[in-house]
Amino acid sequence: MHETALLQNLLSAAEEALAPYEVEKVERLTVKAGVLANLLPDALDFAFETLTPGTIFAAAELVVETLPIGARCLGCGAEYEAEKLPAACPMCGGEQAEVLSGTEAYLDNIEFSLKGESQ
Amino acid sequence: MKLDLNMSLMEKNDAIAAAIRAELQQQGVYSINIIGSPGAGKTSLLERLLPHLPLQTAVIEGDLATARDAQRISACAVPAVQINTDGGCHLDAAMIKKVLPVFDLAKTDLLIIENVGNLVCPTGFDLGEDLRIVLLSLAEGGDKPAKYPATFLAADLVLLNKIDLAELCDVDIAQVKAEIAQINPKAEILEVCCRKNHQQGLEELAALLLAKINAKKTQE
Ligand SMILES: Nc1nc2c(ncn2[C@@H]2O[C@H](COP(=O)(O)OP(=O)(O)OP(=O)(O)O)[C@@H](O)[C@H]2O)c(=O)[nH]1
Ligand SMILES: [Mg+2]
Ligand SMILES: [Zn+2]
Repeated sequence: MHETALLQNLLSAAEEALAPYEVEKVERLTVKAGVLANLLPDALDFAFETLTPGTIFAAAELVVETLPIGARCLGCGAEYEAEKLPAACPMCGGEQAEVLSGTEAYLDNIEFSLKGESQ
Repeated sequence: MKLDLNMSLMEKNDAIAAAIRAELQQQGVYSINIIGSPGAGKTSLLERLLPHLPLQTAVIEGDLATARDAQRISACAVPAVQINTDGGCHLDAAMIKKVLPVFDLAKTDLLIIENVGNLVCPTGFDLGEDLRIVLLSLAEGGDKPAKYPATFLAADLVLLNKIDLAELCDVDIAQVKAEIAQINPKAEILEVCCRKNHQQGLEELAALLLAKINAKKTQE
């Protein structure tokens, strides 16, 4: 379960990113993860619930959005999306493709309110 | 308000891996990261391969517990360091960086890292390697590439080990190769057997690695 270590990194990076702001409440952290990133949303949720009590993220929500695989057919050159590998080309049926995306995982954005700001 | 970040979860690891890669490059050290399930034969591969490599090699062994694998490598008269992750499911770049000073890198040609036995978790963690080998034992069954696509996608070279057991385990080697090619058409594939008295494919593997190491040297 490497999700805990990654979430720990994510929280310290998020805290750094928020440092310049007078944060009242962190509402939401949105993570985007490709289906090939080997990140289990449930394991991330569990790590989030374990690691955040007592921090500025205690009342925040973690949203994990899954991104599809982006592929380019080695046969006809068509670019297409897929949910899993191997992924045959929808244009020519070719079985060999170059994977362009789907292994990435990143903290996309943080939503929060500022002190003195009415919601 | 909303702050757009686009900050990779691997950022910290990737930064350390880049620093390792730069240091190894500067010292003229080629580096290999070997990933495979528990018992796939990673340490056996090293025991059989090392005698075929006319290079100064250093080995980092990753395991949850024990120094057994490092002892097996030391018995081959190759310097080896054991990292115990104490439950951790993979090696990360920070662990490698920490042990690198143990080796005399100026006198080292090749660094081989045996990752923790695990076909999933090590995949996303760059260790600064030049070459990633995924070692699949055919005794695990031929369906593993399809079940662990991200792992095989990240491989430069896939070794099919325990080919002596393919028939016993009803594994169709041609089918396994075809499934690997569907996931990762760029990966090279070699068959090996790492049993002491039934070795196969190791000279070919050594020649392939030496060619890659030389190609990188002339590139510089
Ligand atoms: N039949 C057969 N057995 C092998 C072969 N290669 C390794 N083995 C056996 O497989 C078992 C596990 O080998 P190791 O080299 O310890 O495997 P490993 O991947 O290093 O294991 P961990 O480090 O614990 O994850 C040992 O009993 C080896 O003798 C092979 O090619 N054929
Ligand atoms: Mg081993
Ligand atoms: Zn096509």
